[in-house]
Amino acid sequence: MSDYLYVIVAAIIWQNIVLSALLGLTPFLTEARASLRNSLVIGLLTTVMLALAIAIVRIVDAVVLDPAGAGALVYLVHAVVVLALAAAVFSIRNRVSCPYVTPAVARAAGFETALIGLALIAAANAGNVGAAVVEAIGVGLGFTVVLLIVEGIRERLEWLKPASWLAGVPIQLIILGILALVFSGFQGI
Amino acid sequence: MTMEERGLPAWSSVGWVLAALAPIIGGAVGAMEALVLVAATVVVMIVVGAIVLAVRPLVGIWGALSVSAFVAVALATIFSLYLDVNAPELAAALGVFVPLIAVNPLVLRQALLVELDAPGSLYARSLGAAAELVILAVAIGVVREIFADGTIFGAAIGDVGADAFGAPAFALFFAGLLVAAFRAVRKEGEPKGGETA
Repeated sequence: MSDYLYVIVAAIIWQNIVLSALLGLTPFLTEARASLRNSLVIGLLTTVMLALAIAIVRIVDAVVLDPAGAGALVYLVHAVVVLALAAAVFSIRNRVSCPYVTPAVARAAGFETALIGLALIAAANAGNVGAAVVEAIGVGLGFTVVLLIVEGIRERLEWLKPASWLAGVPIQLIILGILALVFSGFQGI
Repeated sequence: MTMEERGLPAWSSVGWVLAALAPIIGGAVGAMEALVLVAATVVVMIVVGAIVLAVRPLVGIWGALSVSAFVAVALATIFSLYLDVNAPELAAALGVFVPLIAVNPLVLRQALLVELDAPGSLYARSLGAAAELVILAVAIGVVREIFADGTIFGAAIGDVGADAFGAPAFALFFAGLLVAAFRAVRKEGEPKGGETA
């Protein structure tokens, strides 16, 4: 249990995938003005989809691909699973009135699930399905935390009105750099 | 109809190139690794782009997106297997970022597909995106290699390296400054007096 807790805390803080591997940056680089609410929904939706995708892919890998000696097809399986999950999200969104999950939010979450999921599968850190799902949840929460921090800072930056050439993407990347330094300081605690 | 009205995110041209570049600047410290990843990305972009244009009239935009996702992942898998067999050291250096080659063209292609309808401008913007990708990736790779290892494309240039400059934080700083410089140069080149009140 404590091992799983360690994995989650590490994935949120000093092994944060956004700040240590620069993955999941797309929401930070779009010009569309997000909000704290959108950031939270993107983060949580990504976490849920990531956990489901990793669980399904790892089970298919263990039950079908590995015994058949077709481990190289794991990325294709991941693509199929993410497409299916994205279709399911859009389908649910169309049937159930959910103002928080806009098409842009669902698309961003689907894209980040594909991107971060590929990296998790390639890294293959976790030993079993349970550990892989816990790792995916930690990574998703870490992504959510950074998304919220950067969005909060960005909203405050609007009051400061930085120079036009520095506003938007450049200042967000520099803020992410400072955050990466700060979070890496927790390493070894 | 603007992209926001379609419910899609608006992408700045350098912004979405950087989105595709992020795995590269995160994974590749050296210029050579960055060049390999960018070259593979551009090849996959060309193939995926051609397939999308071919199948889009037949299966619609969502069918084209699905087909292109499969093709991109398949090409990245083939590239990954090729590196494992023929260049295991490079494969180890690139690590988890090799399969992300599949994602980079999807980012760029999505931005191009939703923004443009005319195939002519699609080709022009695709070439522009590929050029920006190569310039940014190699620039970041070269600067990180100089400051982190004291080398350029593996050739030593002196004892100037410091490990701290190989950290992701430095890549983010440099990427931010690079985009700011692009913007400043672009603003400088814009004709004056075109602003409206």
